[in-house]
Amino acid sequence: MLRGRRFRVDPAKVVHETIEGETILINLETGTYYSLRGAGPEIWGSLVAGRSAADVVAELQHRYPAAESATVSDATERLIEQMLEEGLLADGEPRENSAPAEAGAAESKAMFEPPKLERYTDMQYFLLLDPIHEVHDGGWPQAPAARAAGA
Amino acid sequence: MLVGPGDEPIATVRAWDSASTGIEPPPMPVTVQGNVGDERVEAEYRQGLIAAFDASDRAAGVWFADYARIHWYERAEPLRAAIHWALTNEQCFLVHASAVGDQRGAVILTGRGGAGKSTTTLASIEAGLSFVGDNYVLLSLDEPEPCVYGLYSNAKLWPRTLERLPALAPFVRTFDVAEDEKLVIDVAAYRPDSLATGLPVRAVVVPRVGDRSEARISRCSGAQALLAMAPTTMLQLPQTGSGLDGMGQLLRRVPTYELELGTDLISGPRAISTLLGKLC
Repeated sequence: MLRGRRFRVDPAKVVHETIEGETILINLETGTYYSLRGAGPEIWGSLVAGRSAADVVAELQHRYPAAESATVSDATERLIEQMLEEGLLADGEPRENSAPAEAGAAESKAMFEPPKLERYTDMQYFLLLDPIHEVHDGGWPQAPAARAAGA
Repeated sequence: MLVGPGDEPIATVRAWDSASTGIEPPPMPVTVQGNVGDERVEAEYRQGLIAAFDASDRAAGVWFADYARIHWYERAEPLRAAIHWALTNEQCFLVHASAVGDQRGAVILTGRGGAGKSTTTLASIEAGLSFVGDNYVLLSLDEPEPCVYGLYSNAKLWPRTLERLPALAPFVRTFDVAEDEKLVIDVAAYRPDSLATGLPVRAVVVPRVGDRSEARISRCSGAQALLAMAPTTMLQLPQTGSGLDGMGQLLRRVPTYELELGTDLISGPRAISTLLGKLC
């Protein structure tokens, strides 16, 4: 169950931008990129801003009273699970001062549209192998054994 | 030395190779290729090349194992990583795109490899449009209008495409290329009067190969344009976490179009020229 959980986005790993009601996400570690439509940008924006899954569902149910509560709840939870699986979200408290995802981000639509996350993998071959994001005291990335040996 | 419009120094880039100088680089990292970075230093390394930039000194160093064996895309776009680190900020950044235009402004052509950017760019020069850049250009949002600047005065083409633009043949740097290697066209030698830089951006255009004879332009969403521009830019340039916001800002300020390319190569530039006329 996701209801009370909050999530965080690692900005070193996942970048995102919402434009004209659609969110583009890029996982810089895997080279996979995504397009998120329907109610997806609204859900994403609320999660990035620190809302729990339960809060997001409640907000959507209030915003779309004509939609079946279970439809909204199930669709939101499915999207969150998908995003956790893709490494776009991780469990944990969001960073301090997390802002809603971009000004001019998702606006409410007249009817609830189930979120749709499209996945693209055609750019993965561009990814550098073994990206290393920390420079150690030796000045260059070093294998753990070499660091332990004082190499 | 990289300098700005007023000749103010932006960064210093020092490059050398060991084969000709005998000067070796620092000890190599354990992995074959990768990148590292913190608030002060960015670095990229792969076999035979190390590039590093110190933001506090505004200085870059680029080492090659052997100048004579530099990879073809490094020869076509030398010191790209260093230029990227030196010039990128929240309002100024490189994108994987081409740009052509004239006194009315420029269009940015963006999309992943094979979309037709370079072919359309070279056909546009043939048709009389100005050349800003191919493959990578610099975008600046820190001006009354978004502007695009060129970095290199060459363009790259697959050998089979040269058959459709035979006038370019005398300006190919070398035909001695590997199977997976593009031909590099010296645009400065081909049409020196076509070079332009600092043009205001009027539109972002996403080309795609079509099967009609005549090219067609139609509106597309900003999200479609971002999907064409962002992944190919961010996954090919090192440490580009900050570029996506800039691309989003650009796409909110200028209209976005899809260009369905025709079998008539010059119809693409005609469509671009017509678009520029409508937007100005």
